[in-house]
Amino acid sequence: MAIEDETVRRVMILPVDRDTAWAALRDAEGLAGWLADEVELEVCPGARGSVRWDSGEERLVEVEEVQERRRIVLRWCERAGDPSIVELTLDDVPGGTRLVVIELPVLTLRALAVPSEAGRDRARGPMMVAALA
Amino acid sequence: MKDALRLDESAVGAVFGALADPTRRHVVRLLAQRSTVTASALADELPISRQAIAKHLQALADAGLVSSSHEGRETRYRLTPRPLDEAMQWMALTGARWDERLARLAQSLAERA
Repeated sequence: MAIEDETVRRVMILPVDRDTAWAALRDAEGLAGWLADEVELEVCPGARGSVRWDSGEERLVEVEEVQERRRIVLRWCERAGDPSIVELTLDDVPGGTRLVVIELPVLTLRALAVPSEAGRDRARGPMMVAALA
Repeated sequence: MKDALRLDESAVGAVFGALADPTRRHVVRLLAQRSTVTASALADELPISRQAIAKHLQALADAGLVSSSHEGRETRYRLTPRPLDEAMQWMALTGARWDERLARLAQSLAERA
């Protein structure tokens, strides 16, 4: 199994315009509707918070990157778990907005520069590389 | 040696094939949360029939990911994760979680529309 295969990638076409899609990403209120049952997080670079599910699971979250109306990158982990990086990217497409989700363990990221949505128009994704530090 | 390699590739392919289906990933996640479970109990937690669950369990069993045992009149299923290395387990569970989250997002946006 190639190490790139440790990257989870999901693509969904949202039948809404970019502003509406961004509203679901840009703050705790929007994220709480779907990412987790409770979100305590200011969506700005460097901010730290947490997300919780009704099952009792909790993850600590740090915001790595925010590009208005385009992308957020989070680092999260369970209290005793290994951290992973989550990248949520929006693009305009006919009929709506495409959301691309990528999650990969930080350990994987350290082992290999994994192509990301951010990396498609640059040699390497900006915060993916920052996460190596 | 050639035959051994072919066998390994086949086993890995079976695991990937079994986990390519989001419902089966969901089943794997549910199985991972408890020691054993019946098909009826899984059907209670998934929006598909018991018969469909049985087919998914068979597909997972064919890939070596699930085993079954009889307890009285019940057939109980358990996850046999040996074919999965740590990375594959992570992939399956994380992917399943994102499928759930994105379904919630789609529903949330539909309710706002």
